[in-house]
Amino acid sequence: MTPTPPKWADKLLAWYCNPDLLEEIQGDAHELYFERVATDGKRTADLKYIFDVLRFFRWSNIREGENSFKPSRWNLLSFNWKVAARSAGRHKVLYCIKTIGVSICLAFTLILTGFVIHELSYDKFNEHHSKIYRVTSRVDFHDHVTHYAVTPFPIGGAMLDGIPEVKRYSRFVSHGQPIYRVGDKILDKEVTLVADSSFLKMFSYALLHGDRTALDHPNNVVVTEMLATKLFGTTDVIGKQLSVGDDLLHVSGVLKDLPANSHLMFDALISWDVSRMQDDWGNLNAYTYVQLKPDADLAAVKGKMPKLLKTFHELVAREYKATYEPVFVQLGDIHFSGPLDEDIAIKGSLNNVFILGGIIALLLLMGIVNFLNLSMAEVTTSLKKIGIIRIFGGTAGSHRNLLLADGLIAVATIVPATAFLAYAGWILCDHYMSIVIEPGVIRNPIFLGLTAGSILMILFISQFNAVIYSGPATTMQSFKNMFRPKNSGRLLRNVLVGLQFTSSIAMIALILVTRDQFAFIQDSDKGFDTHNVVLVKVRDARPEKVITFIDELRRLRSISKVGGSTYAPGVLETKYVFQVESKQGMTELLVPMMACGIDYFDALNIRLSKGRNFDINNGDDHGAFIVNETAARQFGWTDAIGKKIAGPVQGGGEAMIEGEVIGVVQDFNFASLHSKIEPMIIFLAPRGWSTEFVYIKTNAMTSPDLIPSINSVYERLWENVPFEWQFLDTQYLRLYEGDQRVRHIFEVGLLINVLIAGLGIFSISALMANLRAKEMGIRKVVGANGAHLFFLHLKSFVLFLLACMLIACPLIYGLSFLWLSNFAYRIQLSASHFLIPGALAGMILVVVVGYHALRATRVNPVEMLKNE
Amino acid sequence: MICYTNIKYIHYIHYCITNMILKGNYLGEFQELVLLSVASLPDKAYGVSIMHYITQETGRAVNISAVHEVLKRLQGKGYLKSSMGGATAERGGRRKRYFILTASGRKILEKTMKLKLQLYKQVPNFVFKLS
Repeated sequence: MTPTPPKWADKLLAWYCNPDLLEEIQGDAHELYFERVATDGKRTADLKYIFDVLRFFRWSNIREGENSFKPSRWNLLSFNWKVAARSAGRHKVLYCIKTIGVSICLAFTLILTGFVIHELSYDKFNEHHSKIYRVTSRVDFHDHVTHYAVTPFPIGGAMLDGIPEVKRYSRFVSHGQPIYRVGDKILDKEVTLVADSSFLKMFSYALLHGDRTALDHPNNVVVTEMLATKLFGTTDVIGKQLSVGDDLLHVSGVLKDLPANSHLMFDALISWDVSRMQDDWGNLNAYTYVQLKPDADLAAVKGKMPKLLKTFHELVAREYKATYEPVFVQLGDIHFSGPLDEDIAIKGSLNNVFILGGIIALLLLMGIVNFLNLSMAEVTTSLKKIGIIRIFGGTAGSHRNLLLADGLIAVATIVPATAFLAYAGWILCDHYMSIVIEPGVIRNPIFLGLTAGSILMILFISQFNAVIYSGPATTMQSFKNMFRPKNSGRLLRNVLVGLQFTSSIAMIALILVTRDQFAFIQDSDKGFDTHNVVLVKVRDARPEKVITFIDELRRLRSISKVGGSTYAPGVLETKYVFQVESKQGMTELLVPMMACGIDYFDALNIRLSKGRNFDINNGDDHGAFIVNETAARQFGWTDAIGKKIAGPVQGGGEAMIEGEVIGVVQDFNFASLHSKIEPMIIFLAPRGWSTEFVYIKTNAMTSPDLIPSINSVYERLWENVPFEWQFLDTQYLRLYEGDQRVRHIFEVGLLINVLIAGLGIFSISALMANLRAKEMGIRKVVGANGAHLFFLHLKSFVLFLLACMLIACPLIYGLSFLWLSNFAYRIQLSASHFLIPGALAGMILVVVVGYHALRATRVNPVEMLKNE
Repeated sequence: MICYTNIKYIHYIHYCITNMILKGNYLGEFQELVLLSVASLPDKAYGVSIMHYITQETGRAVNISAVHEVLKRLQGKGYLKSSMGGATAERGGRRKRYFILTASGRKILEKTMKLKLQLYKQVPNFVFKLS
């Protein structure tokens, strides 16, 4: 029997070896093997054979040889990849601007879409959101309709008993921001609600620890994850004790941090302690929600309300001469419902959502138009390439493939860039503009659809280009660079870029207007002096202690005046029913009021226009009133001094006391300049009234130890109560937090807008420069100098700018009028609000277009002309 | 006269080198050896025989896969052409691939040899010693 080489080695060779080469390689290997068996013996021959087989394992032996090349679709595509990547590399600036521009647009669109979806998704996380309604109250009192967010205490219970469609009700009252104490830790900024046991069963706030019965027993408290961590350093705190205000409570549940799209924002829930609440119909303080049965209809419930509230209606009519009407708002609609008195819900504006929706559509359009323009500018430079493809038998389809590869490469750059920018923007929004977007919106189908849609859009644009360019262009035309895009498309593009430019001019103008308006707010005469005033909040119902505090402060050297009051900027004003003297005798009116201490007007530098100030030496000043100028005007008094007013001055408002007006003060505006000054009745805080806010006017030269010295006085009186103070001017500016946010949005909007408009101009300019390259070359040969060419390129854009400015003017006027109408006191528009944006836009234009203009002047004409 | 030959010689070197570099016609030492072997084994040059020939003439141990590799390269450059022979008995009936020199192969061989000889002749001491 003849020896054979090891079978596995033979098989290995047959497996890896190129079939074309196998016969000769195997033949040679076998021949050598037989020789070696004869000379060296089988064992050595086997080993050497294995060694040979391993040595034959070379790239050239296993690879498919050059002759076996099979043209495939993939080969063709991979060639396209190479071409597309090279063309991206050749036009680096254009490519970067194109992709980054569209990425910024898309990222901003995504953030805005996220925000819109977030706004629309308010409270939709609640399982039964379509069946939960909030009950609010419309009260008509002496032809003055007030819409309160709160209801009488028993209304929920009455509805559950009297209307079979109601499945459940829940109510809560605001507990303000009480002081939380655990060991040494003290917190005083936590929003707290006192809620029914059914609160957690009705709303789907997620619980981390504990269950939905957590509020069933009195003296329980449910805290959020964040508050638990702040107080205890951990979230597993069930059963621990916590002192809230004057009460000692047990933690019975820990909520996950509330979703950002909840209309209620709170840090803790305290269980409803029936014994401490005045559960009667006259107590209009409860926020009430009812949940209807799955098959119930709201109209049926509404129909049964008048019968249910019959006795209450009669009571209201008899006692207050008012009418009461319950209004139902679906849970999901609360966020967009109009402003209500005493509302604690987070409100949004549906108008803003519509405006944002428009902006999204516009941005998307802009981004895509810019992308299209820049792609076209690129295609005109690569017309010759198309010609070459044609000559070698390429069809429109093959060119389309090339552009598809182009588009895919662009997508590969744009998608990660967009994702990164959107994420960064989302974080920045959260940190710098307190615009929180719930992360859950990413899973929303609309959001996902938009993301996928915009990617497809970019691909579609490259296809669109292919249809335009590879359809009509003949080979020779593309070689001779004679092909021009159609004029109608150019007009459309010009219009769209003009739109961008107009909107950025309007944006710049709006920024100017907001800046001027804020300067106006800060400098305007508010009727009182905010400088060098410290505002201290006192949490004590005992007036003697407050008076002691004020007296002690007066002794400090650096303090000139101290005055207490029940009212501070940003705090809800209190309205009361006063009887006011008029031509028809005494009439009842609901008027904002304020009780204050002796030195109050002096501390705030509020000036009297008539009469005299309160005087401590004058015994009957407890019964004297001071009104503001608006009140005097509204009550129809020509000479206010000596007119009669009766009001609930003493002891909680039961007994009316009649008094005379002793003075009129100039109007001062504690509310923001958004609203007109309201009439106000001011009286000296009688014994038994606590003035919650203490205003301390310091000397002009404030010593650095002022606040510590006030603090030490405070600590002597109230041990373990946090010292809460604020400079009055800071507190006052807080009223405009919402406006400041709008301003930030405007500023970011401006940045994005200018960027996009700049890109738009750049893309048109690039296109123009490409189309006119030969013209520029000829002009240069004939003798035009650089400056001439520069202005020639600029000229067409200057006309463009003027047209945009003309369109922008009414836009600026309308938009700033809309925004300014939010303020009762506002600036007048001046010519500078129109001219400065135009000038700025002109500068941007010169910079952007100048790039191409400069290139046009520096080009070597030979390069341009030999293209023929 | 010396001057003239020198210039001529430099020109020639230049020509050769540019020719080699430009066309990539550079022959490695082993490639040259294989090419010479094929040339000296008319009608019976195939993998194993070439390997044996080189071992026999130079005493070098050569691996068969290296020979195959070089043969493929030389064929790629156009210095060799090949064809399959008839069925054989000694290697399981598998055919052999026979290689023969092409015209350009012969040319490059001549050029390289000529160049070597030329360079060799320029070494004065050698010539002196040998003669």
